Amino acid sequence: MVGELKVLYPNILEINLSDLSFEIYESENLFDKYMGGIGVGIELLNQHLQTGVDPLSPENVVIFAIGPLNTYFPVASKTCAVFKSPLTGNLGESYAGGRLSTAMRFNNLGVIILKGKSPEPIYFVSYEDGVQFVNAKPLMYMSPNTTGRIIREKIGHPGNRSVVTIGPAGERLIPYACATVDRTRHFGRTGLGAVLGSKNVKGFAIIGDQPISLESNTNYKQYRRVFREIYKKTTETNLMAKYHVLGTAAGILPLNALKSLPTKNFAESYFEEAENISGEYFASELLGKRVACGGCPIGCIHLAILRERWEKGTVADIHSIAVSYDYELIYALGSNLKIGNAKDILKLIEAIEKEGMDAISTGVVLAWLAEAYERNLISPKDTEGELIRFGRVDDFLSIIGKISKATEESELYYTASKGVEALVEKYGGNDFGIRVAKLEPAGYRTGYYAIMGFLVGGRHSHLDNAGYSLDQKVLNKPITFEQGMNSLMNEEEWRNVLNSMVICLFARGVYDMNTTIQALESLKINRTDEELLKIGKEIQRKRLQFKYAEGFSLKEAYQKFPKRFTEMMTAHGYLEKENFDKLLALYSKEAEKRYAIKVD
Amino acid sequence: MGKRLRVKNLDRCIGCLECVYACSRTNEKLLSNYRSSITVKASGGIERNYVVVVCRGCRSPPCAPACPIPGAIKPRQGGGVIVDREICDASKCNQECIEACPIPGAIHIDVDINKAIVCRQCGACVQYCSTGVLVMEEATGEW
Ligand code: SF4
Ligand code: SF4
Ligand code: SF4
Ligand code: SF4
Repeated sequence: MVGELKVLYPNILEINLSDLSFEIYESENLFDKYMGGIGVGIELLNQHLQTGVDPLSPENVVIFAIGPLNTYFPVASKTCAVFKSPLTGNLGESYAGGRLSTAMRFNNLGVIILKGKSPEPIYFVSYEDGVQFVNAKPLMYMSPNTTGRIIREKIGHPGNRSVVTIGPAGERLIPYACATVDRTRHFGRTGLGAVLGSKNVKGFAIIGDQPISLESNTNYKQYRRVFREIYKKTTETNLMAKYHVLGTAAGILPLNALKSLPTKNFAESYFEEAENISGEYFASELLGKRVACGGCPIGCIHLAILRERWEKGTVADIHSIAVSYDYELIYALGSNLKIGNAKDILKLIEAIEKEGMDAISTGVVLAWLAEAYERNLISPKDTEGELIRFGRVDDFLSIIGKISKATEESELYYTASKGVEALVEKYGGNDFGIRVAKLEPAGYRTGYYAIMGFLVGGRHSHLDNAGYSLDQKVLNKPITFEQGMNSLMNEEEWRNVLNSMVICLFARGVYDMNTTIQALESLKINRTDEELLKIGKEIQRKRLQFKYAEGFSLKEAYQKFPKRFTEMMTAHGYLEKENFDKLLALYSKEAEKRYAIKVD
Repeated sequence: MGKRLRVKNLDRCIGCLECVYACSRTNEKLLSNYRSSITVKASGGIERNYVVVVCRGCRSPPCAPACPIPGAIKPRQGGGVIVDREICDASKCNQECIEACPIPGAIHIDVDINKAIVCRQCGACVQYCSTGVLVMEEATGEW
């Protein structure tokens, strides 16, 4: 059958895991109103999730959503996941690339909703005509990638599929467990892995083959022209050059030079050994190849080849594995742990990958442990004899598995498996407990806006509003605090629009307002500037509404700021408490004006 | 003389699929990952390289004379073949073209329209291959 699909309004697949049933239905209204991605995701979360439920109970709901531009245009390659976060207790929101969005597109799925809890571990496969549930008990506690390989072999269908899996950490409900997509991409932040684990979902695969008629779904000529323009902007201008050459790891040396690279659990902002863990070093010494998400000509995914000799092996007893690295991983497992050897960082990435944990959170947890150990806040008895020292890769390698596998008997590791907030509550050490609103932050010590961005961001991620980038922009062009906070809020609203499309934010320079409007228009979706901005604002209002309804307290998160935030050197010098106070007051006032909700 | 498509730097492929989409977008007016004359597959795990499967543009193509329906598939000037979609009908033959081509997948049946689909050497994919895997070249050499 020649595809005559209603692609502007793809289907919704709703799965009730409790009785392993599913339903596929249309919802034009929803996509019309909220575009897709986070717009549709947050609306559906509000509809399906009751306020106040335990994030790890069957009552939690997971929404995966793509948007209008996915697969139609270059670098519109992400899928948005929304759920209640077991780590922060409020908005769980995460984005991953790979081939998930293209598989959903070719399966004519705009949204997947997961509800309930399967009685036994399963994975499910979504074909075009329905869903199959497969017993996954024999796969329990396998690494995400082994699980993925097995699912791929079982279902066949090479090329046109995407496989999402969790590892042992997700099954053990570690609140910062991630879900791995197609081997190298992750729904990393805010704990989707644990939520899937709590639902007994070891993984899922989407298979899609349906062709989509461009004659009926696009203004074909305009579509091809806009496609070409976006492609050219993506590949021929320098808007995205940094991502394909050195990848995000390009940021290590510039941030270090700015005194903004978190080092030694954020105590320092400059790492003497940065050269040895820089994007330049990785690319020249370890990079094996680059790969791309489906429909992205950039290929920012940098895979290093790690050659490892077996313990006590001969020169020939060696194996090689491919490990993907990124800026955030190099900060979290390199500078922030004082690991100055690139290969050691790869070893840590691989160990964490096998457990299926978010590498940023894990790295910051490890850094807290090392500092607490150094300060004798935790004793060798607590660590069960393990040494936990900055700069020692073997120390960290031997406790990653302990954290992932910890039971209540081993108190320290069990607490560590709940995140920095839990460690601080149990052992103290708030002064150096690096987290904002319970989320371990990304690697930026750039100045006020990075930290305020974490605090006020909908999901407390650096990608919410890119405060780290604003800090760098205003270095030579000072602005008032009021302008700064406004700029953060505008950025977050605009990102809500892009996250509804759902483009990769690395391409945000390509998708400016005009380009986005034209791309939509070629798909017969007519929107004006004001309409898009209004949608962005409305999404922000809903995200915040969700958080506050779930009990998020801005004041409390602010009061828990570790003292270190005001003791650390940044690109803007030392930060002062009074200024944070001012910024927060400015934000609250403006947010109440913009979103007509009480933020406190 | 027309040029023909060559997979010149296979090892550089990043698996972005832009060539696949370009082919179906331009030649089929579709957004599709399989109604395309070019396919990109992983060759076993992401650590290994990708494989680009497409017609090699033979100057004396064995696929064309194997076809039992006159005029359905003809050699193209400069290499490769042209399928006449008005004539080709995979339900009226034993898909001899596929059998005759030694490269699995280079020519295949588009099951939605039941006709052979094979590269027509148009070069659209080349414009969207950012890594220079694909090039259009004047046919030289023996094949
Ligand atoms: S830039 Fe990187 S993460 Fe973004 S779509 Fe391309 S390959 Fe994927
Ligand atoms: S389909 Fe096969 S035999 Fe025919 S021209 Fe192409 S490569 Fe040669
Ligand atoms: S040259 Fe043209 S027909 Fe051949 S694979 Fe490329 S786009 Fe398709
Ligand atoms: S466009 Fe080039 S790099 Fe991308 S999949 Fe095709 S051959 Fe590979």
